[in-house]
Amino acid sequence: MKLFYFSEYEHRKPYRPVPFSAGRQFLYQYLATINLAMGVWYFHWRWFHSLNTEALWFSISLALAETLAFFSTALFIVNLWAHKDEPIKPAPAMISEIMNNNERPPEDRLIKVDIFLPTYTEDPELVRYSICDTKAVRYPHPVDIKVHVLDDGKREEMRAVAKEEGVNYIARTDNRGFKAGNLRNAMEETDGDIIVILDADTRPFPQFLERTLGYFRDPDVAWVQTPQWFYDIPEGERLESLLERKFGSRGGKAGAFIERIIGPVNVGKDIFGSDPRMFYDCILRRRMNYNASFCCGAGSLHRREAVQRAALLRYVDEMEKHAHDVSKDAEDPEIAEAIRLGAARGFMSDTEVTPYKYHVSEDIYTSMLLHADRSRKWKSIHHAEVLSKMLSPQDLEAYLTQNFKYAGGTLDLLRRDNPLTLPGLNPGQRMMYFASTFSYFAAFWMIIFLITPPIFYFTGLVPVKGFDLDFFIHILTFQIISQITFMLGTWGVNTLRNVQYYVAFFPLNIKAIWTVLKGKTIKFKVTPKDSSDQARLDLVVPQLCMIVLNVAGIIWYLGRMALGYEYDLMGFIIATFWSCLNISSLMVIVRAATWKTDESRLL
Amino acid sequence: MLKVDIGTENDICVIKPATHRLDASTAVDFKNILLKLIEEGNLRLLLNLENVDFIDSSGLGAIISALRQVGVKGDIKLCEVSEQVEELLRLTRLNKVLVSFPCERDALEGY
Repeated sequence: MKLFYFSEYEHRKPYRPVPFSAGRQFLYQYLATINLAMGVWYFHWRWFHSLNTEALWFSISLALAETLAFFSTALFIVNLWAHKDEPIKPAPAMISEIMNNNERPPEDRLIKVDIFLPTYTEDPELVRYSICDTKAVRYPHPVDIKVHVLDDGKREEMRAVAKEEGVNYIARTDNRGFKAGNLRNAMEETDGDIIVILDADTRPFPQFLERTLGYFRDPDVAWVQTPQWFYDIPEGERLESLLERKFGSRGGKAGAFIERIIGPVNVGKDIFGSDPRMFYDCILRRRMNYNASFCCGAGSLHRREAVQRAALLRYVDEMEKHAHDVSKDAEDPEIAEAIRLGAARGFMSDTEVTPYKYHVSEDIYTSMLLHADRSRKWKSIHHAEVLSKMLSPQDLEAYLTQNFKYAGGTLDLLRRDNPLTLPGLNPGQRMMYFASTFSYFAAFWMIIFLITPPIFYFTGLVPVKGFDLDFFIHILTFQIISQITFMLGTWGVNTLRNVQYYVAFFPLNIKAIWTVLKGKTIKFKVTPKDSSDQARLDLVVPQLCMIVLNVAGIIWYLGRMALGYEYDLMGFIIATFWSCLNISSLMVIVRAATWKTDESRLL
Repeated sequence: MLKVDIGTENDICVIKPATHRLDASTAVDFKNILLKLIEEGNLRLLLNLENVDFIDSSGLGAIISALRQVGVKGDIKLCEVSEQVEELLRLTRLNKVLVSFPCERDALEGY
């Protein structure tokens, strides 16, 4: 088989899900409760006793930003509250084992599984890897598994590879609806009971089906999502070798010494922060507690009936909205009813039923609609163990594009169906879908956090009444308990990059919020990938400005101090502490922009 | 291949599938049969579901696709629907646009 850049990572093994520990969970819940209670205590002090009346605009903005951040933290605490992993069930063989009594066909038969590998422009030889691994998926019963390559590129080479590998090849005449349309076309040409969605670069492990199909024994299980694991993430360089390279053998020794104390340090590991482990292993996994884990696309299994049901529900939803909009001005109820019916029929003759759209932005929306389906209590499963491997975005632009889509798609929920008011969701699901959208608004409070130190440097204003003992007692205890709670909640998962990118993503999230508010579709202009050896600082201008503003502020303030002006030493120390923390987060994305991606990695 | 009985009465095309189930395995066939009839100019269809005791969302999707094809000029109505089908129509709120009659005669008269 043709060799690619990822061929050297074949040996890499995925992480294992963090094992459940009742003791740790109890400790987390204990601290989380204290954290929430302390929040009330802290913000009471913050709003009633700490505001600087001489600079209220400054003081109130920061207090407001802190309060919103705490609200977001509270949602996160609830999200992580408890584990509720679904026990793995034995793999079923017959259709009767995964269906309700009243839905079973009169004659029992083997379960039919369709595995879809949609592709468009990917190298057919790369798709061959996915095909081979898919063919190697084993099952303890003789079920009917079919592998389909869905080629929207209609390429002869792809057809040839599919033929050589002995899998079905499906192409269509047009490209309507892109990937979603591609999958829908395949759904119409197949009739499997369970549909497996992979991406062109998704390579399932042999145990993919035997570990997951058992969940469908519960007839209410609509879909099963498995974690997406990127096996090609840059591993970084050990501190010892980095320092030796830069500063000679003394540097190397110093690096080795540091590593001996704090453990191995991989500088530049996962520079793009694309490792989604915290999302899958902490956030999504623990949403099982509220039956609120949502589908993320590749690496998922779907009950065909649920997919179709979701499509119908969406369709009727849109139809009713349309009919309502058209008829809402009619005063006579009979005329209104007639207009409604006409509008509904008009809608039906213009619109097709579109199964699950399988877009980043669509998956979460369709998941929410299925959870809200009042005609049936659908369940979703998040399977914590990694069962496939895939490739990650290899340059900052690709990574930003992907995250912009995530952000836009999630925010779009608010515009379409507000999870807080959508009928049919349970309170936990409501809160979790809301938390997903709310987290992107972090950009607003993040900006305030980032410009607070510079405002201090340049104006001499302080956002609190004074740096007295009361100040330190409140801020230190609250910060420390928050950090420990977060650490326990995400125990076993390295969250450094998540935290850094949470800070550094503020321009992207504001852009996404703006785009969604304006009602535009989420698009991201992608430049051709021929300039991989050039730094792309143009992608991180707002972050660079923020860094410059902070550094300039520190120099300015130091200058004032040197020239003998009046200064606030405690204020300066605290401001520089926050500046350094913020700059270190922002520097990650700047480094990612200057990261030289090897040509061979850009497929 | 799915078997259906097709007859025409008063300009209405009556279609009676000879199957107990309209599900994923028969939906595609059923849809193609309906689309072909519509293409041939039959815009007023009546589905007699006397034999059908179970329809799933794929089956219902096939009927919706046909309804789209007949456009606003034509219509598709149902008769002799089973309890399960009635329930499915109600749950998906499609009963407002897919009118069903208890028996074929009523349907032909009330079409």
